[in-house]
Amino acid sequence: MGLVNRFFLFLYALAGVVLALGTAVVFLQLVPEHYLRELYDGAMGQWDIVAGTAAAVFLLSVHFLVYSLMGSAKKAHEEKEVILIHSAAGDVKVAVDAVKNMIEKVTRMTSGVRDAKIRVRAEKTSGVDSFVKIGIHIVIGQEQNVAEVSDTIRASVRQHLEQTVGVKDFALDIAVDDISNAAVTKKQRVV
Amino acid sequence: MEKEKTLEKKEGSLGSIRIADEVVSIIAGLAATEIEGIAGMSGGLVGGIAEMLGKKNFAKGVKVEVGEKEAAVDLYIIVKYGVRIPDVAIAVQENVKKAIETMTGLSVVEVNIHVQGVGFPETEKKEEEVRVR
Repeated sequence: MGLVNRFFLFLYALAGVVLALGTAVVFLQLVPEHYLRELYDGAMGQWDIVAGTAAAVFLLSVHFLVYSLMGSAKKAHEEKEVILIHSAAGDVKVAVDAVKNMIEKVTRMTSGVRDAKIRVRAEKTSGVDSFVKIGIHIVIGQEQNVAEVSDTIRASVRQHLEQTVGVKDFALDIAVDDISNAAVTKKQRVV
Repeated sequence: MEKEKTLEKKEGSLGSIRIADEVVSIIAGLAATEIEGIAGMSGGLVGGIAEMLGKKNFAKGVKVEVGEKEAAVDLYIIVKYGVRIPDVAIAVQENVKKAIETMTGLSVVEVNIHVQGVGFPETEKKEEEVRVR
């Protein structure tokens, strides 16, 4: 969920909290009735503000409804498993999450990598085959050579996918998001 | 009531043979875990909670479809890090098929393997030598 949608969700949730608290206050009669009447009369006097607020809440609701439906539709065509073998004896499939975890481990083990975020998508091609798309976003140390680290990751991931998982056809994109100048934390050696 | 299938009923036989689906599941689960390279079976949230409570579930991670004479099996496994997944999966397919066919007489039409994760070994804590006092 992007930053804008998260901000809208915050406002929406806040409005829900205020509404729920207000309803509880009214029903528990925590506030004198004449005060509520004055509040109601005041709100009706400024109907344009009330109408505008209601319209904003309605539009936000519709926005989140469409967003949630679009999100599930977008992921519908993405496969959750990668088909490795399809034979008369049965299918062998690997979960996309399992592939992602393996790639993350291989990437983090690469010298010079401070942090890594992996995204793996499997799309069904013609027939039963799957095509795997991998996106690796890394943060490397400032003393590292970007090209060398990227090449090392590419070679490790390719070797791992081909030999361990058995996937030979895939797309791999590596992006260096940041260069970190933080020192590598060392274990305390003395007490 | 457990789902059961009558295997066969022969004329003049002593009676019918009924095998519960869970029995086939257990056979498949045990046959799968015998293979080197299998870290365990993936049973999901319910299976995990049951194991935490101390209940062994040999049918965890196994789904079977049992007919009168045939069976189809789906196995959800976790493999050990470093093994070649296709080789392990094929070995599991063969062992499970053989075990079910031998023990129940059912013909296994397919064994589908779903690799749900990779079991990474816990890093061993080495005792560091005390160099200073």
